Amino acid sequence: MNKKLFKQIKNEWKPNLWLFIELFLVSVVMWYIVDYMYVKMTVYNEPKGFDISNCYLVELGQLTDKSDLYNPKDTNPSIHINELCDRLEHNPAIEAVGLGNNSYPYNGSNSSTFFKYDTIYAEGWILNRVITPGFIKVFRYTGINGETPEQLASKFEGNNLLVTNNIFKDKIKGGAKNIVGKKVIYGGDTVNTHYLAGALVPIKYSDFIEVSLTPSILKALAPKDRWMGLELCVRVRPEYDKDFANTLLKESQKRYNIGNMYISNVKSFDDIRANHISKDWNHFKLFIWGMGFLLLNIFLGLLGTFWFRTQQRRGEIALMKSFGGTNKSVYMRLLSEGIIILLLATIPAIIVDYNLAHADITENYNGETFEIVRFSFSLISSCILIALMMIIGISIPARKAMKIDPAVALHEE
Amino acid sequence: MKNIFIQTYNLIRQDRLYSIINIVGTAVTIAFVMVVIMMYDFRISDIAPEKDRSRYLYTDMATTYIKTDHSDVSETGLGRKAFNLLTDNIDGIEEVTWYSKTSKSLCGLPNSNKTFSYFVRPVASNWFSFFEYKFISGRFFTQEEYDSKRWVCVVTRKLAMFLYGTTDVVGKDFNINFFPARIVGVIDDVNSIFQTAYADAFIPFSTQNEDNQMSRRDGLAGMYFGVLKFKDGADREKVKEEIYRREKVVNNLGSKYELKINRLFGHIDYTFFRGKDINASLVYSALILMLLIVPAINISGMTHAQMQKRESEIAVRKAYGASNVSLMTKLFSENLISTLIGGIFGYIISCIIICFCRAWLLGSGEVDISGITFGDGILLRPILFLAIFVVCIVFNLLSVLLPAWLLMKRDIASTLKGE
Repeated sequence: MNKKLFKQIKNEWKPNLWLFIELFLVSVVMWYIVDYMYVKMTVYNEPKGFDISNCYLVELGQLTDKSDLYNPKDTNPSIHINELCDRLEHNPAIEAVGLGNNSYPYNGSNSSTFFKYDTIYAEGWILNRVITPGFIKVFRYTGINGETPEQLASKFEGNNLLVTNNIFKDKIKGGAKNIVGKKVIYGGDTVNTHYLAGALVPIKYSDFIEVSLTPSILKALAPKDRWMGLELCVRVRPEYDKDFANTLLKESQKRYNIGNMYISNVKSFDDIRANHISKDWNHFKLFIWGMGFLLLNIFLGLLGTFWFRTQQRRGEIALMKSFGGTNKSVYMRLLSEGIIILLLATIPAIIVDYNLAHADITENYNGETFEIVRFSFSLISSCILIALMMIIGISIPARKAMKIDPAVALHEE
Repeated sequence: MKNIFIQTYNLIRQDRLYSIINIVGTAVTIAFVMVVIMMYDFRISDIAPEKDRSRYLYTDMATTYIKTDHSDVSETGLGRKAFNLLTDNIDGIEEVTWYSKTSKSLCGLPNSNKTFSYFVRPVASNWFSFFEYKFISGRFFTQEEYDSKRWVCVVTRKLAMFLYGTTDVVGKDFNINFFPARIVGVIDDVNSIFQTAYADAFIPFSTQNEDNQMSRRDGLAGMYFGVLKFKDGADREKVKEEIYRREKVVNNLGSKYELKINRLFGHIDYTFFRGKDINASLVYSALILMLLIVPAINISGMTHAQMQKRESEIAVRKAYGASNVSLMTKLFSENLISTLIGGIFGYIISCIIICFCRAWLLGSGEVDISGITFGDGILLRPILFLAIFVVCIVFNLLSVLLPAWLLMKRDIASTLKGE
């Protein structure tokens, strides 16, 4: 049976060649798409290290003398920032209030710094998050040993630093948690002595950026450095989180306009996140569409090709049936033909895929574009997807073929 | 000609399934290709208000840092001093305008507690001659108003309707972030497809306290984002070189800060892969090629199978003296008809896709996504129909040429003998 099948595939090599080339091309492109999606989803599913549920960004503005409400005596509205934080903390709806500089999640801006312990440098882009202790509670950063945000916040003052555990990559076994309490060097600061107060669960920069690429340092924001250009973030108690942004804006004119400083906008972090990742997300969606397009083509191509094939082979199928072939065997024979061509086309596709992966054309993950598990996963999944489409495409003409009445078909001949 | 139509009609009728697959396959292909073409076209074509996109040059973010140790790095727009020094009187530049990034600002009527967020863009005084907006009433602010930092503004129909329920609002006031601003002009809504020209309200750039910014970093960093317009036929590389030359001059003025213009973008690089070294035209061409080739192989495989049924017909025609070229032309035109039918469906599908998915196909972070509209005939521009026609011809060529050629190669005698 199998020998005959191969012989038949060989005899009809012309139409099969078309199928072969198409499947080969599609295999390569599908593999690329699945590989891209695999990497993106893996990164997306990494633990984030922060929690933005019920969090809001409070944006501040400053009145100028053009406004009727302007108070000419208040020349430096920034000094009211502590007062504002204080008032917000007393709002029963608000659980925590934090200030930070280039620090909140899904931020378009960032700052970087240097970090060193003894003779060991932290390499790469080290995010410098200068924040108040409240900030830790707002985004619920947690310690690598299970410390709660509250415990971390209580240790976080003066020259005590917190770093994410992955800051030294593999240079310190077990990560930064093993040097907690030790003296460290922060930025270019040679005047002050800094101590490491704790190691954190690694914090992601954004959903589609690998956590390993953005190790962070948390540094306490000195009271004298507080001004209204900072990011004011609040965490709302879940039971109060209904239309919070509008409620706060409405209350703000009465309760939170201090001097010439006012609350200009309140943004939910869900929106900030959606906005921030929209580009990556759109890109991702384009790949899904591309994948759908290819699968649809496979479906149409096999539907067409096998439709003609079953028409041409009416007599043959009728003979097969009259010699005891069952519906199932007719169906399996047609299907095996398709699958064998797919497997044949996959062989050159693997070679091309392998070379593409080594040519750094695919997405980078963990600093690699080729990794055997990822490669096999993408290859097998794309193959399965194509095979599924194939089964659907072939099934329709095959069902028709199964219905052939041997007597009628042979009579026609 | 008539014969071709009749035969095609009959062929379609005879082989329904083949025709359906052929037309559906073509329609899907053309739909996807057209979506890609539209995504590209809407963002790069010269369409009013951004009527000279092909001649724009953008100064994007600039980096400033302390010269000696490269510390205190900041990425912002350009400062006034740097911007003027870099862009004043360059040979090959026709006009220079600038803006500051839009942000959602609170807009509301005086004496009303209700405020709503709208996109307000601070712009230069020549903004409205640089871009081409449709004025409904009023005027743009004048150079005098700009220089004296008056809070005047031009609003879109949408904002005027929202605030006052009428477009007859010239001379009325409303608050932008609690500052009373006087409306001097009303323009038609701006489609959010135009990343630079889009906003709900425009105010003079000079109201943005740029002098405050001047003091920081010696006037190098600030909030100037420039759009420069090349003269027709200007040597663009030379202009860029001149700007980079001036950058050096700026850095020799004795400031402790150094300025680095990250990149100067032409419109295509600016709108697609800003800051990445990817050639957008290349990416889009490759995408279109892939979208065409896979289905073309598909259809040509089927056409090949279908044409084999017609071997004897072709052989008879040949026997009576038809040339290969005339037969190929015939097969090509027959198939072109079904391709064009597919093309029309494809275009309709592509319009539906682009309308439904406009937010993520065309949106960018700095605009109001709901403002992406297709009301102004943007989907019916002749260039798009030309594109469909060209795509159909190319697709047809790809899918028919090979099977038709294989058919021509067959020996007539053996076909007619029935071998």
